[in-house]
Amino acid sequence: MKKLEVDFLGVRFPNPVVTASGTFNFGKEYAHLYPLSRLGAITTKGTSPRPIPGAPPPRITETERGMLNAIGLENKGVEAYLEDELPWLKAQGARVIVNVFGENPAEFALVAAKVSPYADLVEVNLSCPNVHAGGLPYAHDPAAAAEVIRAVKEATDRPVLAKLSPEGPTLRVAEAVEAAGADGFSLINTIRGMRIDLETKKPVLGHRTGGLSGPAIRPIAVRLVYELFQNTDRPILGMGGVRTVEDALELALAGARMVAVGTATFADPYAPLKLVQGLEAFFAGRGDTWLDWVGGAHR
Amino acid sequence: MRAWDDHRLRLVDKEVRGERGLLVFDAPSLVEALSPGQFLNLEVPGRLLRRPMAPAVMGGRLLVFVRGRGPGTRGLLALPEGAVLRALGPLGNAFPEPRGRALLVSGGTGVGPLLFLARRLVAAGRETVLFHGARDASEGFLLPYLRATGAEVRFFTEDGSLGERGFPTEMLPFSLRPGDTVYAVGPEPLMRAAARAAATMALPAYVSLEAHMACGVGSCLSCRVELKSGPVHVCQDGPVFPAEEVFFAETPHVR
Ligand SMILES: Cc1cc2nc3c(=O)[nH]c(=O)nc-3n(C[C@H](O)[C@H](O)[C@H](O)COP(=O)(O)OP(=O)(O)OC[C@H]3O[C@@H](n4cnc5c(N)ncnc54)[C@H](O)[C@@H]3O)c2cc1C
Ligand SMILES: Cc1cc2nc3c(=O)[nH]c(=O)nc-3n(C[C@H](O)[C@H](O)[C@H](O)COP(=O)(O)O)c2cc1C
Ligand code: FES
Repeated sequence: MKKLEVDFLGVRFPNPVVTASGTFNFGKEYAHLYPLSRLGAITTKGTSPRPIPGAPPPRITETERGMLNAIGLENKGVEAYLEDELPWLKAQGARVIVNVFGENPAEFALVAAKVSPYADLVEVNLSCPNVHAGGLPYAHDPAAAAEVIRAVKEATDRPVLAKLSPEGPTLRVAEAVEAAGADGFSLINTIRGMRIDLETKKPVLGHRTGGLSGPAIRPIAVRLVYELFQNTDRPILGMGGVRTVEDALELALAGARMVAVGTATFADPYAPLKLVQGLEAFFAGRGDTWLDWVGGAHR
Repeated sequence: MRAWDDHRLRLVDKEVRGERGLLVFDAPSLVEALSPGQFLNLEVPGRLLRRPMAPAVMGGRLLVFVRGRGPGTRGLLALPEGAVLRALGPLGNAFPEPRGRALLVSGGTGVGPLLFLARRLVAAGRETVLFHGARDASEGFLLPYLRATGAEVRFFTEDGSLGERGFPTEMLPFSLRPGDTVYAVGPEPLMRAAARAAATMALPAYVSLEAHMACGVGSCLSCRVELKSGPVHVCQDGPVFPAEEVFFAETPHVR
């Protein structure tokens, strides 16, 4: 449907609905349910140069209208995904946003360079810890984040999205990475939280803290997308608790040109497809288009 | 094995005794597809995430044995008859075939997958013995279901208030014979003891592991467990594993 078509950094997407990194793996688990090409794009699980085993169990726990996760960036490393997953995903006719991270700017760049042949866009996860700053996430340090983006930009010819954290000085990081060459933004990543078990009197998660996602964080996503939109001309991929047509439209009004569905996929594996279908139905009876809604709250 | 999908279930009957209960669902699209050992990721109305449950199929119905421990399981126990839910399934692997006679040891909600297995094995003409361990007579409502499998049933209570007194795993070593295959699902101490008894006689043994799950289908990586042979994701690689692969914790874990 033409009314949902989006041009995002020179790439054409049939609709603005994307899966969020880490909630859809590389798509294989869901490919028997519906063609992955029906979605705007698939964002793949965060990928590093080498395999990472991840955090001790338990890794997830439910909260009020949300969940905490501490997967600990588990992934099989870029070589495994270049062999088994990315070529397969491209062959499905899906558009692919590859989420990358590393321990230092050179590692981010290495992964970005290797995945570029399969990536419509490269998404850089700035929420991962900067080993050289005592594990403080890049997202807390505008200069360090800019260094990562500069390295990635040099390594790939694909458009680069800086994935922002709602923690730390989000807008200052955005400004710094834009100056360093970021082509666009995605936000929000999760917000750290904790649950403590009343019986064991210990944190529930093996890693103690975990990232909060789901409907509970949606107002924070709307606020940050809104604020970022006022500060930049670059396109925004918005996410945080999105499930329904109303959720997606609200983020569009705030300034999101595309939206990602994350945690909702755990509740319903058809959630991203249902959002595409819901938007199609919504716009079928109207004279305007998705793009007419983008940034609408600012006019 | 049939690919999983999102199925519709309707609660047609329930039997709740305090924090334990049996939910009986009509699930025509699912009952044919499930094998013993496999599980569902079951929607709980009002909760964000689904909850993994390993059911039995008997009489064309789906039987889910639930122990209330948190909002999800208590929400399931509180469902009114007629409630309609969604369930992803069938998920995970199934129990392998026994070599000779099958000895099944269940405790707590482990009874679901094992009475399903017992029923299938008896129907296939395999000699099957089903041990069930309960805390007290409050689990007596399980007896008709255990007996309906057609297996030889031995029911144990810790306090001796119903059936034999003690733990099923205390009696297991006396019942094992060469050629048997052991299946144990329940609290970790029960699975550990059953695994040891089987190992002593060099018999194959299988257990079903639990992990906190979000997706249930292999995409979120939340259910990773270290086995002796390396890491696995319980929802995709399991939940059934050879007992000799498992590191059993020394701390009791009540299922
Ligand atoms: C393959 C599989 C099959 C299962 N089959 C059954 C079944 O047939 N009947 C049944 O009653 N339960 C079964 N469980 C366990 C059930 O999924 C959990 O008890 C349930 O998810 C807890 O949710 P809650 O909201 O009630 O508790 P929560 O508030 O989430 O947690 C309460 C307690 O349960 C523990 N817990 C939470 N989730 C899990 C989990 N997924 N596995 C193990 N412990 C957990 C927590 O550490 C905590 O101590 C199964 C689990 C798995 C992985
Ligand atoms: C289990 C899980 C794993 C995630 N893994 C990643 C990851 O590897 N890289 C990343 O940038 N974000 C990751 N995220 C964050 C999501 O992509 C998304 O930004 C966040 O969850 C907010 O969206 P939601 O509320 O729709 O889930 C993960 C989230 C969850 C719940
Ligand atoms: S529960 Fe998501 S990978 Fe196993």
